[in-house]
Amino acid sequence: MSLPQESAEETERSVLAGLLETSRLIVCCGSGGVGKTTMAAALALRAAREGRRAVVITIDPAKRLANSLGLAALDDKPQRIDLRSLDATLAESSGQGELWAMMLDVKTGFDDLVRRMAPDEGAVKRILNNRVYRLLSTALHGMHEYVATQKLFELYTGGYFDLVVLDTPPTKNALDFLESPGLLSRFLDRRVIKWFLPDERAGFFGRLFQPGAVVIKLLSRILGEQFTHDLVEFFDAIQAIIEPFQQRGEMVEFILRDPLTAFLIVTNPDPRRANEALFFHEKLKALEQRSPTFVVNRVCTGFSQAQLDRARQLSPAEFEALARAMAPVTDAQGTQQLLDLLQRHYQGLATLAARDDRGVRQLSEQVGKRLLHRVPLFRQDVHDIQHLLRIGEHLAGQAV
Amino acid sequence: MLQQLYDHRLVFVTGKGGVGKSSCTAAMALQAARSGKKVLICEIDAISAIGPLLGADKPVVHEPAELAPGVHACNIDGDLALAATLLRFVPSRRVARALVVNKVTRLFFHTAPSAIEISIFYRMKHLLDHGGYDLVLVDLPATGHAISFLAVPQSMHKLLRVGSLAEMSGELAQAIRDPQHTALAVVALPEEMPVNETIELQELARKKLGLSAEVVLVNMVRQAPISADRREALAWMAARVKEAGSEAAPGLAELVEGGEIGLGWNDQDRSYVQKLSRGLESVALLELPYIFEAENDRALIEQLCAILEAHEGGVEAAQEVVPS
Repeated sequence: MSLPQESAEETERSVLAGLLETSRLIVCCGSGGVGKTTMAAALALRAAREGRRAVVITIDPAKRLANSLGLAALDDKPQRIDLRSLDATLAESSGQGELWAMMLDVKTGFDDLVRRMAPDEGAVKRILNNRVYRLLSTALHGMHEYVATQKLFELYTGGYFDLVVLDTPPTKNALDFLESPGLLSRFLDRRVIKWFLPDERAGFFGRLFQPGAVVIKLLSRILGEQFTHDLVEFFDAIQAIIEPFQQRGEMVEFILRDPLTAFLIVTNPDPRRANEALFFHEKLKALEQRSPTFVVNRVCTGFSQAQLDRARQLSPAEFEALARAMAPVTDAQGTQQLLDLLQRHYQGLATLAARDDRGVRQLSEQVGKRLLHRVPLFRQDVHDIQHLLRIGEHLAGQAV
Repeated sequence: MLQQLYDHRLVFVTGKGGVGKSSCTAAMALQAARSGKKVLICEIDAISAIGPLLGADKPVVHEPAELAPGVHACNIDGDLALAATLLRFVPSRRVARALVVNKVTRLFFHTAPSAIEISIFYRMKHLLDHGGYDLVLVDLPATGHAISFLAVPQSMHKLLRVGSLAEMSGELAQAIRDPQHTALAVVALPEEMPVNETIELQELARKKLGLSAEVVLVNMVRQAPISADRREALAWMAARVKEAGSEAAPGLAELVEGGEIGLGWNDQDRSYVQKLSRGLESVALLELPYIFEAENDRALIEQLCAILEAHEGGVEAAQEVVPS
């Protein structure tokens, strides 16, 4: 179903094909609406086909993705996908490979963490019932990323999976994700917290001049006493789980910098999106990561004015005769109108293809051709396992 | 069709990332300005998209500036907005600045729930009350759910209960709820995820905010290359070309294939538009055709604006504007 492809340069094994064999973690980043989730699922499937135990963590509650994997819905525990029943050829090729999928649920994910990390039942209750926590765990900016990194930590260090493919939330800045393990642990930083908690040992004067007292007074004025009280209580309750939280945050930062972690930037060839991808590229490099790999999704190819110009080898009369011979009606005017409309439409497609080609070339000049993987704009928006497999072939550079 | 929308003082424009929310916002602003309104577009702590779209040579910043006749734009800076809010509660500008730049309090406000968001709303309200604009269009951030952002004043009000910030949040929440004052416009694409999210968003907005989307703009709907009564003729031609082989029909084979692909896309897009319209019941849908070619961003916005304008004359008129 795909549009015609220039296949010569794509038949070589791609960089991604190598990463699928060796990486332990692939993080998919990109702005919203570029097809990150589909790419993440296609990559994990491809890895499973190559015999690896892969799990994809998605944030996208798309029912169709679940359906295309033969599930009714994804939930917040990894579910194994029955590859054999989905596709007969997969039964042979995948060998020991397994595909698992799960969807992140921020609220339950965070509650889970609290339950696991708090020292006792009382602490769990105090935290879960605190009003600040209840607002925090759903409304705090970066919470999504935070829960994602924690899940990642569990699956990565659990030892069962060879490869974790992580679909990140679309953010204004795709790299918020990288910064978030630090973000929350900074919020829960002892230095911040101590501002809010009375220091028992400081004595009267110490407390009087404790900078925290000033902060609390100021905050009470702004936020109201009730809220400030809740806040102090929150910090008090959450003290117990700060350390494990922080340790995990640090571990995740380690994992993200591990040589077997790869970053994939998903974009599309629209010059504006391509510019965003370049912006991520720069930022990633600045964060001392290795160069990320790129996927340009939905590239319109196979239409060009040159193709159409083949018609010009015929004289207009010959072309008309040809068209009429193939048209169902003898009405010459009707045929001509049909041809005009088709011509106009084809020119639109050619314009789009030319624009996409410019976008891809611009990206390729900046990041190097080798790191760029193209997935064509498919003729139909299908959601099934075959579709994911086909995308996998393009990503691995084996599409013909 | 959109003139009614423009009669509100405050219009929130929302939509999933990549659907063309900023482009639609810019086009709506142009249209409203041309009908005589003084319009302000608010971006929120964003990598500004509006400036380039309207062909402005200067970046859009915290202080509003006029980008096109009657169209002003600003990009609300969270820190500056926060400092302005704090100024209401602390004795001096210096203390407010100090709180914003201080490492610990800065961290607190950046991670603490909603402090910045409330300040951003407060800034919007200020611009609305004192800026002299007839209409403020807010290009909401694509990240997360717009609903939780719009619910911030309400939840803040509930959380704080007493005190001046609680009062302020209450006022903001009330303004958001007032259907005479505030409206919600959603931009969607004829694709699986945006369609589902738009339907969910509408339900949530009703339930949580008592606010209903006034209009949904379905962007980039790929038009049928030929009318329905010519489909059969095209199918016939496709069969003949296939029989003869594409080499025997140079040029014609490509045209026919392109036409068939175009029809397939159109069918698919139509089915998503229908799904959206079924899911939204009473909300007005406004379709914007896919634009294959525009010289630059500004030209694209002009084309979109022309399509919106044509919609005022009915759907047929709008389809006539589909650029060739």
